[in-house]
Amino acid sequence: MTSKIIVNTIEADAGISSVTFNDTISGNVTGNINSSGTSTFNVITGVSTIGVTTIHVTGINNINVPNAGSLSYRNLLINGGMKISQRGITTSYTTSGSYDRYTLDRWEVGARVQSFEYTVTQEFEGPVAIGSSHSAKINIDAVTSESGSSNLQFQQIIESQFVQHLKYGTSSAEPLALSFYVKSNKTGTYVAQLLQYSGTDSSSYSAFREFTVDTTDTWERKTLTYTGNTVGFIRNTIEAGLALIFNLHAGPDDQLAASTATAANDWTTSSTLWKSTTNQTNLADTINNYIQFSGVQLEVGTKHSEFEVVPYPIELSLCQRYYERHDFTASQYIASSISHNTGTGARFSFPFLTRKRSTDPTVTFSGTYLGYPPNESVTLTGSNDNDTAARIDVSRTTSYSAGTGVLILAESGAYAEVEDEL
Amino acid sequence: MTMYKIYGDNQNRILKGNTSFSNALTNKNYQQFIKDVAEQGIEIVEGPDIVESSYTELRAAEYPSREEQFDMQFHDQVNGTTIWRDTIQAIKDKYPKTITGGTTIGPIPDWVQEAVDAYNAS
Repeated sequence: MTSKIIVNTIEADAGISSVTFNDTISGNVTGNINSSGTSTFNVITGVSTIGVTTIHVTGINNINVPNAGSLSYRNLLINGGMKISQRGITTSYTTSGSYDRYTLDRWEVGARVQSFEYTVTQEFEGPVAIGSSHSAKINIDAVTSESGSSNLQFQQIIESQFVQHLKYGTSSAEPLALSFYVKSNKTGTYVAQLLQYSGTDSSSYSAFREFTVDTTDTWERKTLTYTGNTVGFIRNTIEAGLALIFNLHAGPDDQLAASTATAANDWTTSSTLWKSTTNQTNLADTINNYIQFSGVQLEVGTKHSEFEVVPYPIELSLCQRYYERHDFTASQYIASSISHNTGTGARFSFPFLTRKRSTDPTVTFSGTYLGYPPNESVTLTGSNDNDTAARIDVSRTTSYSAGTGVLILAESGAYAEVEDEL
Repeated sequence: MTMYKIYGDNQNRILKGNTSFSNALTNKNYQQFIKDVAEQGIEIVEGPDIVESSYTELRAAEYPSREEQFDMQFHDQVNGTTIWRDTIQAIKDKYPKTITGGTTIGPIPDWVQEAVDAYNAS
């Protein structure tokens, strides 16, 4: 039975301080509302929240707001906006067998089994919707057919100690919301795999979500949600913990039936292998096929919040935990070395810009360096490093007695790299 | 063809071109090194350089400082002794000119094969 009351004002009776609504109120309400329970409103305007201890909303000003985790630094990924590319902006690769190549900072292309030829570029354009100025582009330079367990992937691996708050392996495991912008000339279904590392194959798991590139050459936003893994834990070390893998190609041996791989069967595939589904598009089936990514965000919860722009110096520093590059100018004094023994050798300490992931990063000095005096060519080799600096061995032609100092100058184009990627 | 070279004070680092990394399991390049050796054989690894100093370098490291030598010569003249000449001669005798020094390639340390065996067994 329904009834209707048309009134101008509802107010409390004499001697009663408030009006109580026992059931759901719909429509427009003005005045003060005191709710002792949980009230649900589709749209609220002109409301003061003073004194309100808890508000549950799905959006503010039409922007999705998080329902779990912190409000800043929500993105588990680093450089999701593709702004940082210390290794350069264009790199072409030809791979044979299994090989992973880091491209833009923290992003790596994994190629396995088959030979692949591709070029990765940092593009200076991105989805206008988020005001993005950068994106990562993978361009296919040679055709590779799907065969056996072949894979081509664009991925980021997250350090395990930084994802412990996901509480994987417990009944409180947190869901994850993935959002990203994608553009490609090759429409079709692709697969975003989450790979969780426990330290052994048998206790590591994957979850899969398909997404579709619907329109050619157009930025599209995709949102995917993953349940938390209540079965397998993530190891708590400086090693790989969780990987987001965009599958661009998968051989038939790595294609799972979509019905068993997705949603309802999250985290049931036990192994650290790279897999996709039978719906996987082969980006590498035609030369000059391309795919671009930007605004990639993986956050705790089920809400896909607006892509969070991290200040550049902070994002660069986050990247430098895993890789840093020092570009030297011509005749730049990069160090003062000293002969530790009588002979052609000398040494200096090379401090890193950011503390590294491990105490064993890889150090590379490329280009030409001079020892001054007497301005002779020297070779620089990294040695005995830790997470904050490396001892650099200087190898000269001329022999000097112990204690002799020599300045090290860089020639044009010389650079040093400190790498500690996962 | 040699791809890698053993390097470092403790022979626990690996050189690939001008890239240097240690034999730590957390190092991605080291993981690739072990995989490459397992697949292509230990022939792709060269042992460490064994550097032996020449007589000039050995003598230079032991000669007293210039100040000390001047002091010896002064006292030799005053006292009629030959301390400076004897000191220098002793160092020259200790390191004769037949010690020419040079660099040789040492054996590949055992840990390389042990690491490859462990990789193959996993």
